[in-house]
Amino acid sequence: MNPPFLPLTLGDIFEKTFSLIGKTFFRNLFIAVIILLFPIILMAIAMDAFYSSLADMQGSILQGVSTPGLDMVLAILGPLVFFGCATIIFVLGILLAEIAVSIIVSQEILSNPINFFDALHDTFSMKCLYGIGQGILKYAILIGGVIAASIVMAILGAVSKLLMGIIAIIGLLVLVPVFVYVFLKWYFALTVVAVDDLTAIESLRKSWYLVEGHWWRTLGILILLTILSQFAITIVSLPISFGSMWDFYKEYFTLLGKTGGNIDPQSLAQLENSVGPGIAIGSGISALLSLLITPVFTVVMYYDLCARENADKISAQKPIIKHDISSEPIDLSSL
Amino acid sequence: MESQVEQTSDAMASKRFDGSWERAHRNITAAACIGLLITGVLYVYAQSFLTIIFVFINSSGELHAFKGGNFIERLSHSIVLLKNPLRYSVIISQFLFMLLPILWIIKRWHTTHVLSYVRISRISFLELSVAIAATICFIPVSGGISDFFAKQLNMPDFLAQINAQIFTSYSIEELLWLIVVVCITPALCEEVLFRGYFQRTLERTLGMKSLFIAGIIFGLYHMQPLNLISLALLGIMFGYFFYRSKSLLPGVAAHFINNLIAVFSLYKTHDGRVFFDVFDLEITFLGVIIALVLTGGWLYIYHRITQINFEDKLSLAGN
Repeated sequence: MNPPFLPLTLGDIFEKTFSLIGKTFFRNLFIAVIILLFPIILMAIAMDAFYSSLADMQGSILQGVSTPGLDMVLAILGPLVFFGCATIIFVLGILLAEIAVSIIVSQEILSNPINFFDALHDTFSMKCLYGIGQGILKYAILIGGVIAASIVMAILGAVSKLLMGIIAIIGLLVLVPVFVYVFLKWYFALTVVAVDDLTAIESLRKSWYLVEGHWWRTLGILILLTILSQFAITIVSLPISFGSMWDFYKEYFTLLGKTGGNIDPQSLAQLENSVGPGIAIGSGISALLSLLITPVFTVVMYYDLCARENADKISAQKPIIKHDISSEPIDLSSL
Repeated sequence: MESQVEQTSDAMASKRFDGSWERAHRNITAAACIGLLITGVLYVYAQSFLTIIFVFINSSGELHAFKGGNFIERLSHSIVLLKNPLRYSVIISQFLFMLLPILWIIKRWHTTHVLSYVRISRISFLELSVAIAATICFIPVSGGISDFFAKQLNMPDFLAQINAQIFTSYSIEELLWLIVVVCITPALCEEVLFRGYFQRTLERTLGMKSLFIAGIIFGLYHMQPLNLISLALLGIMFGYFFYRSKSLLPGVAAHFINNLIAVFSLYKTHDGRVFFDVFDLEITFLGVIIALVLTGGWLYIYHRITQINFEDKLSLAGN
């Protein structure tokens, strides 16, 4: 059961997020590294294999050794499947790290700080399954909806191209807002799992219920915080990503210098050989930095929504309850 | 005596923190970081947007020419297309989306005494001259560091020269225009943002650490990985001037001179001769070391000449 916090202003959300990032920084960083280290390495290996086979394939086509066909598709299928599996593990890693970071931040807000070990222990319980469950449910419904709409359009397209065009425009105009609306309504589901220990369906239901009546405010604040945090992540991760792709750039500039800008397509295809691990490490670092910020403001916003929900309830009950000390709201900004 | 009165009034004005963030007794470090982020996002998006608009206004008919030629030709062509739009967008976005928002943030969050907050105050001619001398001596160091990374990366010289087209002028009129765009505008707007607001606000809670943090962020903000170290060191040096003198002016002057030398070095005279070709200069390791020692010497002199004023201002400000 959540204590009845006071609703936060935008300034409070900014300040609380900033203070919490500072207070939980090293624990969150440790958790993110522990959980994401293996997926990032796996991703680097998978991307290396994928880009190498892609470069080989392009090279052999350009040399005229082989022609595009089924055997070529089969040759790249293995690295592609490996890359797909590595991506799934990477996404799962981010999801689990988000749960762990949310637990740490939530406990910090509740003035009950916990160490990273307890947070990890708490994450790898039923919460882990609920978290994955809500993710699968959420994205299955969202992506499923888009696929279903596309199938309908394809069927209509078979009947008449004009009809498909009209339906496609109407579909886009309706689908995009619906997608954004539902996505935002379920945005806090993972936080609910981490903080309130609810099941996958219950978490989706609670998130939907919490955002009710505050949709536009939540959208505005989320856009603002996402833009600001992504900017911070970009300026910090840019030199790191550049460093991780140092070998690629060195090879590229060497070629550029030798050829005076006339790099032949075969050499360009060869360059792809070394691009994979750099991209994986760069994305890994960005994800890692993102984990230090995004779950923090999401938890703060979640408590703010809970507080607003409570405030709505209290204001609805005002004529009956005059003053109840036990339900006195706690000023979240004083924590 | 007059200067002491000025310092006292400055310190008192700085203490009159009547903005909303201050009245709510919120975290000051958070204000510094959030203010910087908001302004940074505004500036970057506005600049990109304005550049696109100016490219279309300037040369929409020539866009098809991108298709032809090799990579170098395409790059040269795009730089020619981008040159003027980029200059217009920099000047507009630095004043409208960097300087104005940060002044507004200071007024709204911190104090109505905005100029006093960013420390626009007079300093002696000697302080100003020493700051400029240190900056001039530091130019081979920053050039040497960037050059080292470019060499490690085997970056061809023609790439650097193509990039330098943006700062190259071919007439006195263009040179004067570039001085406004590349020297005056960033020296004023970036110094107000990074030193006058960010470092100034951090200084209230972190003291001297603030100049290192502001310097590193200054380097990161430019989004040039190869120049990151040299820009960060330059930012730390400007921050040091600001911290010691408790005035924005030495940093503004140093920033202006640093950029002015770059612009002058790329000025091409009417016969096509480069006024002072930096690309022909080979910066040796020994040259960098000598420049570093000279910079250190000037910084030491700066430290000594600001000693008395620094201690006075520190005690008056109650830091």
